[in-house]
Amino acid sequence: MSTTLSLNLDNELVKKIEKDYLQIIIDSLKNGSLKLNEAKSHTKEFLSFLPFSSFEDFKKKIGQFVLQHPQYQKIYLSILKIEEEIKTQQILNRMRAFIKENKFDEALKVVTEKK
Amino acid sequence: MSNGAAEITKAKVSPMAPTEGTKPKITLPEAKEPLPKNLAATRLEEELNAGINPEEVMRSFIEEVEAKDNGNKGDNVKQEKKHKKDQKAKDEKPTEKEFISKVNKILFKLLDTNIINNTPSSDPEWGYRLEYTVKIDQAIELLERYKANEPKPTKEDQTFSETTEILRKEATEALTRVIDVFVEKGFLSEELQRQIRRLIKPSNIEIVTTDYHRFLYLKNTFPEEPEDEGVIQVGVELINLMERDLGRIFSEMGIGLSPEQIRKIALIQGLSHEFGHIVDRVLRLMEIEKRITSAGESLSETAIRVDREIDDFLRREFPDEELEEILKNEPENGTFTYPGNCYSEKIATGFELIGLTEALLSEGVSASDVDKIMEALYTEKSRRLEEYKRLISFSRQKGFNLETLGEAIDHLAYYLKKQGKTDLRDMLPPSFGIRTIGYYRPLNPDQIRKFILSNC
Repeated sequence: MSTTLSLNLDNELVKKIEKDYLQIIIDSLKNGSLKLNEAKSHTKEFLSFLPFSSFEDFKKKIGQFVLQHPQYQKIYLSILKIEEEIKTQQILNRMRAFIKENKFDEALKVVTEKK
Repeated sequence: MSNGAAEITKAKVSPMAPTEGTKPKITLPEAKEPLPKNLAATRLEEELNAGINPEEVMRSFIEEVEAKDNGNKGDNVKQEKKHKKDQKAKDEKPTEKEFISKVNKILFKLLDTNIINNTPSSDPEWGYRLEYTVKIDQAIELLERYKANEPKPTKEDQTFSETTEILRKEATEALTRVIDVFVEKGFLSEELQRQIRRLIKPSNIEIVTTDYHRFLYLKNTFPEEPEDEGVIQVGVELINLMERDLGRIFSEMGIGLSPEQIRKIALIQGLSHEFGHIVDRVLRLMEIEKRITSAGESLSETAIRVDREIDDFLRREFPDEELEEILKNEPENGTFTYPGNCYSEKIATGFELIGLTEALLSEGVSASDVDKIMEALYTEKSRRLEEYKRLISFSRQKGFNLETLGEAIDHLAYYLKKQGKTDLRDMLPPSFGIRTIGYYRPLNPDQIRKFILSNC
């Protein structure tokens, strides 16, 4: 079993983040904190990142985008949260697999690796 | 040319759908009314809640804000409806009637009737497991039925009466003119002109009967002997079809040009496309030559590397959202999904439109009429792109990606040849996959200039 954790980029995840991004645009346009042309140029920039080649690519590009435009920080935090959830799930799955085979030491190692 | 070391470039030039009986219409861009901030927010919200793909929502938003910036006025409700209709069209099963292109219609039918389906199969002739099934006998029967229903060519369609030698002379003159146009317009440096002359002479023209033209050159180095030089095959059938379509446009617009003038324009348009392939090829050969003298790498390795680097440059510098959207669910760099193939046609079609513009102007068509003709061509290209996307979307509903469907088409074409049914080959697309997108999404003159300057 591999000791590194890799994440597949789920299309649904990308869609979710895109929706969250649009929601921020909608709210900001409504409350007047964003001008139409700013929203357009941010959206153009966002679209220029597509397609994402991997989860890492996705996280990196959105991270850089958020650094430039902190008002969208929420979407990056969402990505980090989802990443953490997926990784935790993967670790649990690996632990379960070891425990099923009565390999308790290996199961414990999985947790140590995470740290 | 762009996908591997020794690929024959086959460039079909039929921007006005001569074989498909379409009638380009002049449509002015749809106007939009100013977009206040709150209205924009509400519309975004509605589209999101309607379950429209967020990327589509973003693109539509950008378009609307840009329309507002351009000061267009008009009916934005119409725009919104169109957008929702597009999305709906993506998700629903199309009908045969929606396809105007003959080959798209037939592919739709082959898929819809499961004559081509996604059940894995084996074929002793091919020796490996296939990811699809093609019911060859039923497919041939269907193609024959469509062939029988094709309108028979009228006398008017068979206007081509010149001898091969006269046509060869006319084509040589046209190619010479094309080169002059690109020199006059500053696209070709002296050095690039010199390198082009190393590859091909304007008289390297062969007249063939096909409904396409193509530029042929198989080597990864410049030719050393005249007999190795590149050749352009000029298809008589394509010239006839282009003349007919150009004639129809001129007649609809009330532009009076003689058959000789129309022939000249058709030749320049088609040869400009092929010249685009030549320039693209020369730039690659120059780079290979530069590397091979310094790197000590094998010729084919260098050629593949250069192709990849130039293709990556094109994709990076001239990103195409439509193309990327289509490629999203496709295998990387397959035979039918290699982006370089699409960019090869984007370059050539960009050259073609520049050549066509100049040919029209030099035959006395007014600048405003030229604009209208170009508008009509772009409108037709957009329509064709939408139709192609509809076909791709339907094939995905049937469990195919472009790569597997392309393989299935090739499989069928192989059996047509094997069974002596070559007359049915034109019932299938001449080339399939994202190469086709390149015909609909040409590079603009500035992009072509940048491509040449960056690689010369």
